[in-house]
Amino acid sequence: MIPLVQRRAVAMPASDAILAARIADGDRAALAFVYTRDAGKVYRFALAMCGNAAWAADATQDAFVQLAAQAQAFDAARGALGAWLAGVVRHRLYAQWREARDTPALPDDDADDVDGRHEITPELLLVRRQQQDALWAAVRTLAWPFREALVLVDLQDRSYAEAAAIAGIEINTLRTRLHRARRRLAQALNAQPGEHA
Amino acid sequence: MTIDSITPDDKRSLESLATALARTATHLAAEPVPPALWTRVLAQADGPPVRSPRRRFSMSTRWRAWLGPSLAALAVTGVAALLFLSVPRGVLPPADEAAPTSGFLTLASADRLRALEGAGGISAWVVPTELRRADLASLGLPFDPSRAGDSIPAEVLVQATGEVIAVRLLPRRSAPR
Repeated sequence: MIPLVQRRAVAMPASDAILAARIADGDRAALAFVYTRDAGKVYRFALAMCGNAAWAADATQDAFVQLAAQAQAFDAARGALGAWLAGVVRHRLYAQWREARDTPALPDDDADDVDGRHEITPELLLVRRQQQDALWAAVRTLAWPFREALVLVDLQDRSYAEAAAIAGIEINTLRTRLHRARRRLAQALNAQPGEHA
Repeated sequence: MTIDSITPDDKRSLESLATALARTATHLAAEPVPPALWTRVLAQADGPPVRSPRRRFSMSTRWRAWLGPSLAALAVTGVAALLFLSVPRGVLPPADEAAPTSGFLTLASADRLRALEGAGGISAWVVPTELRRADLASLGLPFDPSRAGDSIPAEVLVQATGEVIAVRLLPRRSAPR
């Protein structure tokens, strides 16, 4: 059930700087608005990076709790609030990744539901599942910097500027990493048996 | 997707990859956010602050670091109070409103004090002096490192032989108008 404060906040028009100021003042409606607007993208970024729904949820939760506690740390001149949140998530997951250096498989519990909406045949469903699995497996073989660039730009359709801000790198560095990530991914997929697309 | 400086095989491979990525992006975009996440965010944001393990460790370590010197200072103060009571009254300076009536910290060891007591009591003189704050560390007392060079008015208890057996710190008096 969506909380009342969340439903009421959806129509709240405000700049990120104003929203952050209101959140810093304890305005939970402003926090709910930002959550409604940005949580999905932040969570999916986390999910794509770590491949673990529980970790992604924890990281997303941490990001919004940090926003609630330290909204004054947000600087609108350095990017959007959504990018700031993704940066917090990235920071946490990167630390986790460095410790673990091993990521479990991406959960695909509802993959059937997604494909089912397009009314495809069971055979095609199976092929696509295999393709998805193959692609995610290949994505997970990429080193963090390359995976990050690929997820932010190719899988989340973020602008280069936003992706670079989240990753904390220059745009040219992001371009280079993205280019290498695509090539390595293509090589990894070609090395796997069967077609992937 | 920008593709440059690659062979035709690479290009085909990347075009195929672009298709796969687009499909995966669509799949990813359909991933739902866990429904309970907002409730968890609110609960944690509005709940009591959670101290990190590192912070707890830090506090614990700091508390332990202060425990030793504090207990030592307490014990020394007790001994100094007994010592002060045994000092002949004739050698004490006249009473002063601003000066404390006790608070000597012994600098001599317990064995040395017992030896002095056994030798017929302690005869000593109170001598005013100035101590640097850094010297407090040698007394087992905490001090502010940023003010290590500052001086503190103090009185030392000097035995007839010249041996300093106790010290007490005094509040700095305001300059006369």
